[in-house]
Amino acid sequence: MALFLLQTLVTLLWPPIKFGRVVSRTQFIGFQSILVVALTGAFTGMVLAYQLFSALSDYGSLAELGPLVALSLLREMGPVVCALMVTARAASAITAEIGIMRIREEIDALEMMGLNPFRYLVTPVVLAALICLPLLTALFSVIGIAGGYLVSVKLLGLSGGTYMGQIIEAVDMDDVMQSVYKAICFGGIIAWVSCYKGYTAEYGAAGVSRATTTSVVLCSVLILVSDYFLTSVMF
Amino acid sequence: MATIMSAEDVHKTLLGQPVLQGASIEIEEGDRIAFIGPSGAGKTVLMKHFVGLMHADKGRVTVKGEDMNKLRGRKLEALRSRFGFLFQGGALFQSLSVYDNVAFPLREKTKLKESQIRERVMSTLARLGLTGAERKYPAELSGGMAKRVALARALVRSPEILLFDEPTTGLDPIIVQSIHDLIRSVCDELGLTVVIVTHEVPNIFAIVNRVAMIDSGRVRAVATPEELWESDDPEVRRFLWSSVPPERYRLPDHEISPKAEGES
Repeated sequence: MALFLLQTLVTLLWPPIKFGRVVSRTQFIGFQSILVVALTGAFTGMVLAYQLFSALSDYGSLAELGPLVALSLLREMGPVVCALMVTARAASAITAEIGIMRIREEIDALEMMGLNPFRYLVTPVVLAALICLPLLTALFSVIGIAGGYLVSVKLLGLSGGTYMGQIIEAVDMDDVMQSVYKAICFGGIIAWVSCYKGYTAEYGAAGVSRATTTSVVLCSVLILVSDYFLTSVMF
Repeated sequence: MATIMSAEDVHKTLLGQPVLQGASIEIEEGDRIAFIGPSGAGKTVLMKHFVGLMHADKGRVTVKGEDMNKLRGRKLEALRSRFGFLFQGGALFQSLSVYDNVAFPLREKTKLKESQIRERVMSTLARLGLTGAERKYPAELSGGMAKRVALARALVRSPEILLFDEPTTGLDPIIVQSIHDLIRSVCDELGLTVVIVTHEVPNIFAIVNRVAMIDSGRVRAVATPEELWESDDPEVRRFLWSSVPPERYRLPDHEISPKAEGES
């Protein structure tokens, strides 16, 4: 896996980059994930608002509701849940697609044409994931905050000025950057693991099925483990 | 003639199973050689060593004097550009049309203008009887057509050496014959060195001038088709005669009768 990563990095630094492939992978990983990320973001923010409203009202600290929703989303829930949703939607598909190309000998065919399969199959996914994950995470967090607003202000009667005003005061650029760094890291993990598992899929339908399952499990575990270490470093 | 490819005492283990166990063979320029033998004997694995798709665990594979175990990067790419490889399943890119599949290596590896690419692709498709199929996608093609498109893609960069991995597997006898005729006419026309991994015994003998019998990871015999029929090796005899119905004990221009085992 480490050698695979090294070869990917070498190919990334060694032009040309297949921009057409990068655009199509960006469309697949990013654009096609917008709906699922927006939906999960909205409901995550709404649930957070409900739970926090109930807890904070006991202590008379409802003014902190907005900042708590926003910081939870920006620092943790946004990057992690968004990355898990992209793993479920895109990483599994990427592994299956590359795995099928492997067992149909299409990757061997690329090599026989004197072409580097990493340049066609792997680096476009890496670049697309690095571009898309921060954007999707931002979308997730913004929609989550809006969902929290909807529940706390429109349903539970908190003042809109309190909710938004406190967020503006409490959230600074470091929180936003923390979200971006995590999203970039998770994007790299998703691309690396999903491509590696597809590229090394064993022969037959069972091989691709196994590769897809382990890809999703490994991506999810690595996202959660690396989230702990990133948080402890950025804390 | 000069040796163009050779394998010396090649060993290869895949998933813990020894596949090649000391395979040795020399292929000369202009040779048309068929690799025959039981399933799992190591025919395809040996052929993939010649193009660097697999590397020997032990032993030496050379192509045009280059050691394939050491060849990497641009040198390997340059060497591979001399090969055309027809994969067992065709290995056509499913998202590309027939035209784009055939044009793909020209677009990616040459500086030809699109008009020149079009000319070359269309003439290659016409040579293989695929005119009119250029807009179809691989999923819309029959097995025989898919093989012909794969052959077109293998030929479009004018290779010197053509490798076929079971080019007729899964096709009906009439299509098998037409693919064999196509391989023969293309090779006659272009004078290529050809290696064919196949189970089509004895039909393939009409195309090739040498046959290598591979068994249990070793090259058991290399001979002309006529010599192979006369072989004293009991395994060769068992394999050959078990694949031929009694009423077809005949080769073009060379009638043959089965010998009793051990008879010389």
